[in-house]
Amino acid sequence: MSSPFARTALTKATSLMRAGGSSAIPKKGGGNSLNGEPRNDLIKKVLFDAPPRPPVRLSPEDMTRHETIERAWKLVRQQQKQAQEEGLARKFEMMRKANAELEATSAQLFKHSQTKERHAVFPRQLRTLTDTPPKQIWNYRQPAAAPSPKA
Amino acid sequence: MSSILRTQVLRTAVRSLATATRSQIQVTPARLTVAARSYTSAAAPAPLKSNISSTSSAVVSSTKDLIINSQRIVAGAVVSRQPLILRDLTPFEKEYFLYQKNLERDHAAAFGAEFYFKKGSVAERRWKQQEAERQAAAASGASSTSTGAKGSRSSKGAEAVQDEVTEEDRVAALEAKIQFNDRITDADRKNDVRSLERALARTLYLIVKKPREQHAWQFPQGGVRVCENLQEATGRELAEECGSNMDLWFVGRVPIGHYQYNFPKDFVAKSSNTAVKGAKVFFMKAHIFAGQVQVDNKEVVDFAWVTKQEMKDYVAPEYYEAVKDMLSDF
Repeated sequence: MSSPFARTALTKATSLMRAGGSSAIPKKGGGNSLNGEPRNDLIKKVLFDAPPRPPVRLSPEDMTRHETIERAWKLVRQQQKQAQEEGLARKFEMMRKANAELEATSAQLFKHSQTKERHAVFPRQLRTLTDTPPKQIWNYRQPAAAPSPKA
Repeated sequence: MSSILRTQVLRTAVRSLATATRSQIQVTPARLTVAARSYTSAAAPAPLKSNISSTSSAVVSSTKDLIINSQRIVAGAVVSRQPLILRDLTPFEKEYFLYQKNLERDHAAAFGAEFYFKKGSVAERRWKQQEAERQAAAASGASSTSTGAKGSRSSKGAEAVQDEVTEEDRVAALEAKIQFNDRITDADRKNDVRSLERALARTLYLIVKKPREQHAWQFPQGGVRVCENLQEATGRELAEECGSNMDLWFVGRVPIGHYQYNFPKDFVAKSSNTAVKGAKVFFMKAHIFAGQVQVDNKEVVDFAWVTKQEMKDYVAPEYYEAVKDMLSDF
C-alpha cells in the first residue's frame, strides 16, 4: 500500500504541524506559529500543502507530434554517439598498430612505453569547458630570463 | 598540614607534567611543518612541471642516433590544444531544447510567487510583468517559439510611475552586470593560424614547416638517441625546434601512431650514413596549456595551429591519410 518512506514523511509533517501549531496558550502576533513566525506557516504550506503536479494531457495530434520529436532526438543522439565511438575505435587501432610495430622494432623502447608512471595524476590545467571564454583566453608565457650556468 | 603538602605535591606534579609535555612539543620534528603553499590565482601561474620520465639507464648520455634495420627511429609530437569552450549547438538541438523548456513550463506545478517574492518589491513587480508577457505570448498563439521579452519590458518601464522607475534604477544600479565574452575571437576574424585563441570550440594541432619544397608541413619530429626513450626524445626535439616557452603535458608513454617512409635517393647519397634508407616515426601525444611556439629558423621556419579538417590544406596527402585517424574530429 503506502511505502515506509511515505509514512515517515507524513508522520514528520504531522509532528511538525503539531509542534508548531497546537499550543493551548494563545500567543500574540503570529497565531499558531512556531516561535511566533508566520513565515513558518507559509513554508509549511508550500512544502506540504502544495497541490500535486497535474497529469500531462495531450491531444492525439500533440501526442504524435511529441513522439515524433522524441524519436528524432533519440536518432540524432544515437548517430552522434556512433560517430564518437567510430572515432575512438580508429584512434585505438592506430595506437595498437604503433605499439605492435614498436614491439617488433625495439624491446627497450617498447618496455619503457608499456610501463606506466606510478604516481601519474591529471594536470590541474585541464580546463572544464564553459559556454564563453575567460577574459584572458590564452597565457602566452614569456620565456625564462637566462639559462642556468650549470646547464 | 596535609592539605598544604597535597597542594605542594600537586603543584610540583603539574609543573613536571607541563615541562615534560612542553619538552615533547619543543622537539617537533621537521615533517610536521607544512610547506608554504600559495593559493592565490595569479595572472601568470607557475609553469607546469614536465611529466617526461627519464630512462633509468645511468649511462653517459650520447648523441648517437638510434638506427635499427637501416631505419632511423624518429619520435614525432602530436601537440594538441584542447577546446576551451563548449561546441555550438546544431539548429535541431536548439529547437529541441526550446521545445522541452516550453513543455516543462506548460506542465509545471503552480509557482508560489507570494512565497518567493517579498510583497511590493521590485523583483515581484518584474516577475508579474514577465508573467503578463508570457500569458500574452501564449494567448496570441505562439506554440513553440518564445517571444523576446526585452523589448516589451522596456516599453512597460517607460510607462511606470515616477517612484517605481527610480526604485528600479536604484536596484538595477546595485545589481552586478554580467558581461559574457565573445565566443568568436579576434584570431577567428583575422584567421590567424598561428594564434592559440582561434577556434575555441575545436581541437588544434601543431604542425611545423621545414625549409624544403616537398613535404614541408608535418608534425614536429626528430631522431631518437640511443640512451633515450620516446617521451624524452619528443620533449627534446620540441624544445629544440619549437622553443621551451610551452607548458606541455605528455599523455602517457604509449605512442598513438606510427608512420614509415623511405628517404629519397639523392638524400641517401648526400647523407653521412648511407646505410640508413628510411625512417620510422612514432608519434607521442601531448597537450599544451600555456605558452607559444618559437621557431628556431634552422630546422623549422614556420608553424600553425590547425584543426583536423584544415590540416588537409597544409600537409602532403599521403601523410594526411597516414595520420588523420590519430586526430579528434572535434
